Amino acid sequence: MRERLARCDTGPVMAEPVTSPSASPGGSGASTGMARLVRRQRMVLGVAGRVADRLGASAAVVRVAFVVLALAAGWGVVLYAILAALLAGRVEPAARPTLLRRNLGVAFGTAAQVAVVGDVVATFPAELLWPAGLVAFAVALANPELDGEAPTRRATIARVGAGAALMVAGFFSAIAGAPDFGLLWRSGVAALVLVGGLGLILAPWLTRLVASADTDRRDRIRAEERADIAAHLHDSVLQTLTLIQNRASDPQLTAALAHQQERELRRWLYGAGDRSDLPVSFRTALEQVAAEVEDQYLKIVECIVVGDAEMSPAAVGAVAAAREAIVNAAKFAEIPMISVYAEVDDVRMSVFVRDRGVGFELASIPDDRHGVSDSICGRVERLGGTAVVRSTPGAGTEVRIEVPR
Amino acid sequence: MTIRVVVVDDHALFRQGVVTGLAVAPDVEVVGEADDVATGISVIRRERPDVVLLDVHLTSGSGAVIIDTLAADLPDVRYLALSVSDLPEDVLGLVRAGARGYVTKRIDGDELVEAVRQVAQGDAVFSPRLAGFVLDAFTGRTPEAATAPTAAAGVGEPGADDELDRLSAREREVMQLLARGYAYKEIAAELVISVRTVESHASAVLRKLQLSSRHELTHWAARHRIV
Repeated sequence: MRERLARCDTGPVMAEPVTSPSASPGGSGASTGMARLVRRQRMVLGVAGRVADRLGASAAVVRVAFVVLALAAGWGVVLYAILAALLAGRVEPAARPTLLRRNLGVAFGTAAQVAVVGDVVATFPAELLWPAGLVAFAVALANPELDGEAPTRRATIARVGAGAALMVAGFFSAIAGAPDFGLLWRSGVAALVLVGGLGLILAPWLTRLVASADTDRRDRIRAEERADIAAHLHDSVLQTLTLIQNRASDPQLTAALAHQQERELRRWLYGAGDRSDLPVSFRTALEQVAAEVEDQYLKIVECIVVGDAEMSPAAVGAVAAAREAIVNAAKFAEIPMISVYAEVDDVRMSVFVRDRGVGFELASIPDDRHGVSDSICGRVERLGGTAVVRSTPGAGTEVRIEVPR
Repeated sequence: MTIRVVVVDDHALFRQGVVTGLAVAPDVEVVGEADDVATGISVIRRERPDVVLLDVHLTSGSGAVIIDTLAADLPDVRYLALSVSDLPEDVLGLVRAGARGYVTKRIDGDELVEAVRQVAQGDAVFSPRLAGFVLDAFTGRTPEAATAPTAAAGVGEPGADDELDRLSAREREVMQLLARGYAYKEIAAELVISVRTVESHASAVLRKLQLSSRHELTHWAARHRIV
């Protein structure tokens, strides 16, 4: 125990600000409601204080209990280490008020444990409990979650170093204390039985602890997600809305902004974003083209793709031809909406680009207009496919592109 | 006879836009509005409308809850799903709950009026997107479907490959034209059949969509997170 108290002066746990006014062990156990607001003065790892808060006993009484139990063949150290591990990183519930009878309860509980340990020691060499306690304590010390906050680098190094040193010490004293390996074996079995019994007794409590840890974690994840969403909405949607309000006098710009934002938000919400790391496919390429034309010409391009294919020269050609057809519709159809439908089957890729716009007489297209003849038909024919343009003045245009895979 | 419509959507501005859009049609009358599941149910019970325009996502739950709750009591009320969401599971979820059709909120006023009329007649309404989903789900031509053994669907249910799980050639043609942005009238002209026949093909597909036990159909939606 003296070892633990000594660490208060130099140990990393003291590196944090201590706001409790009192430095004496007795005065630090402020178990009133105010105690929740004040960071408790910690003697070692703050376990006694937290246990006291949970039990509704005075911290001083709990500390004395730990010291007494530690003297009982080191059992207090083991208990302390176990509690440190269990309490690590947990959100503390409100402290229960200290009552005399609860202090008495702690005292009786301690006495009972001392009696039990005495019995155990009678059949079980005490020199083995001490090393076990040292190892357990070392493990507890090395736990970075003890403070419930990210420890500083130096504090971590110091703590892990101290933990490792203690573990080595525990190991060697175990070897020294029990050169007889038969005894070591028997003690190991006895320790396992002890831990098993303890586990059975503590099982409901442990499950509850684990469950509440899960809840904590889920809450934390949810909070992080919410923060992510808020950040995203702020960066994109809020900015765009602000821009739109500022430029309300420019309908074309506001339409463009709204449009772009809508697509971006969709991509974010419906996860097209996660597909960006996949190899580009026919589907993504065509959707990309549709999106570009939407942005550039401020039209709605409804793009529906059934099936998919990997990018190939044929797919590149089909997408390029489709792009030409979509751009033509955007430029000349004089209608806000263009429908794109693509279908991929085992033998070919088909793309239909349709608008209900003004349409035109096919015969009226002058020969020097390269759009339809070269960019669409020529390109598609070079790939061994066909392109058919159907147009009716006043009823719209449909370009049908078919390319073998 | 006017078509009585209830609009259930939690977005007040959007609801207002729909009401204004429907007001131009002399044969359509909006008789009630609601912004959540509970109000929606009570308004529909009170008004017994011909058509309910139903948002997929309401703040208090899914639109499908309303259909489920009222299906037994008010079998004559028809639902048209309306959503900004392009998620296949949203779309298919509502259609499988019993909606007669699905349109996106981008639809313009005239198209919406036309869709309401079709639903009121008992016809199915397919947005191009929904038609695309149907083709994708029923043809299973996607790379995943080609590599994944489709036998899995058939093993558990020997009769799975019956006609509920397939589209006829005509139905597929109708769906393809819908996906290409054609209206029923245009499809009828294209295929040289009557509008009535087009409508009955569309209704047949909708029924398959609702009743098919096809294993792939349910898993398809989750597999494809298409925008």
